[in-house]
Amino acid sequence: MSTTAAQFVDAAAVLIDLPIPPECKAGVIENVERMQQLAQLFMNFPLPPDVESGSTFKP
Amino acid sequence: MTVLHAQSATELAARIRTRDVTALAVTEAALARIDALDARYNCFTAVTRDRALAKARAIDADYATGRPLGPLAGVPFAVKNLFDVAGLTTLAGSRINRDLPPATHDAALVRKLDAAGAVLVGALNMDEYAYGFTTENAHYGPTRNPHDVERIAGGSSGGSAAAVAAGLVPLTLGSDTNGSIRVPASLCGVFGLKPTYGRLSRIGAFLFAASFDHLGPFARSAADLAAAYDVMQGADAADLAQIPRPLEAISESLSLGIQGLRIALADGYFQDNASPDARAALKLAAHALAVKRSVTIPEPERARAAAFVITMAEGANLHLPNLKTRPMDFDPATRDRFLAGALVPATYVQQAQRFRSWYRRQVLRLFDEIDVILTPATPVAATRIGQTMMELNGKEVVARPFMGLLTQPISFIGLPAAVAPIVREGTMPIGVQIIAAPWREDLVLRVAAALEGAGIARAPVAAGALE
Repeated sequence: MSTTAAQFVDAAAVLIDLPIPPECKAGVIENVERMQQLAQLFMNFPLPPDVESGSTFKP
Repeated sequence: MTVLHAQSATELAARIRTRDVTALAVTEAALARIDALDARYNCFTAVTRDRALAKARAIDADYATGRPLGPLAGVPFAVKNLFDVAGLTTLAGSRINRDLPPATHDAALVRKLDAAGAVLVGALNMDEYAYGFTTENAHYGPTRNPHDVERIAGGSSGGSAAAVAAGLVPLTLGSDTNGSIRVPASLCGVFGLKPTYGRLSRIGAFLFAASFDHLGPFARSAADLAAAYDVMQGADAADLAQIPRPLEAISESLSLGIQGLRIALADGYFQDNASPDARAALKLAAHALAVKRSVTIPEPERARAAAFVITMAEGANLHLPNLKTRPMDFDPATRDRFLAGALVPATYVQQAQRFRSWYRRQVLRLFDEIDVILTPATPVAATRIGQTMMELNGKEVVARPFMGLLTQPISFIGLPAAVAPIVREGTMPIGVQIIAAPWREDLVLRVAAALEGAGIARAPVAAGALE
């Protein structure tokens, strides 16, 4: 369990006013770490600036 | 004469149309099987007995007075319990939703099937809020695989797949966000269809991650999937994701076979993440279809990662009020993931959505040269209930998320995909995933029907459910 992930969970949860039950803390940190690892796969992937979001809005 | 529970939806509809059997007799037989066998499999969370019997009697009365019957008249069906059913609370696999009032209307697709004459007999078990691939639901118990009750049915539409595999009903509906139709269809050995994203109305279904949520049918034949798909089409302006399309009935096209179709096996990631069992099933299908070519889907691992992160964020946001006020009422299998999902940085979600656009563009180019792509539907066959780790090509991996490894890169960009179940003697079933370009459900079901015609794909009622 990384200190960075644990600190992130504490700070982000306060920011959005989300109490994390103590018995869930370790599992939440583990899932944040998994998210962070997976996100590197696409965060490190260069995208041209003209690529728009796949989430579209239709007026 | 084949017993009723072993017949497909279209076979039953034909017998009812010719008065070989009444709708009431078929409905009573389905209800009797549910009463007798469901305790073994735990598929149903509600049985709509009175509604079913009233509907069946109405169909028989229509027949007696010469009124035309719908194409699925008298066919029993059931739906994942995230579909609204008038008079039932829409549980979506949760304890929290028990506090909601009963639905006042049926979901759009339930209405469509009802209008086609199908007879709703109940609601089916699932992973809580569709967030899982195993249907090991802490509130309602695990759904058991009819081919081996010590094994999972897959999820999140596990009750929908198992109810068909056990011969309790010939037709069910489920939802698929990252694989939740295709994974249980593969593990339970039944046919399943995830149509193109935006094709079928989702109104009246309790969503999970709206960017990826699809609805679709399970059945024991490709023709049944096509029959259900045909009657469920239709524009619904209330569904923001739905894309208006003309009605494109595909049942008649199944007899065209595969002549002229350019079919390829997906290589790389889709082979590397498949067990010998899954690869053997794919090889059987490829041989039957005389597939000689392969294709590389670009960057599937990144696609799967992006789908994973967007799903976390969207799912958690939907449940944020309950996560703040009653987190311990969530299933332990989903709770920590939902809580973590509420913390996903916006920049991850934005980049994942932009990657989705890039990936879509690359993958759609493949369909200039190819009509249909085949992959295994799941990395492995059904694991044991309670099993947390599984071996995949010599590596120990966490069983739950890895079941969706081969389906997530496909639903990520909304491609239509069917599962054809490959049943081999002495082994658990495992499915082949059949993928085509958007709006080409006809092609995926033509290939599924061809595999069925060749005797490679079939969905028999599980041996344990035959008595």
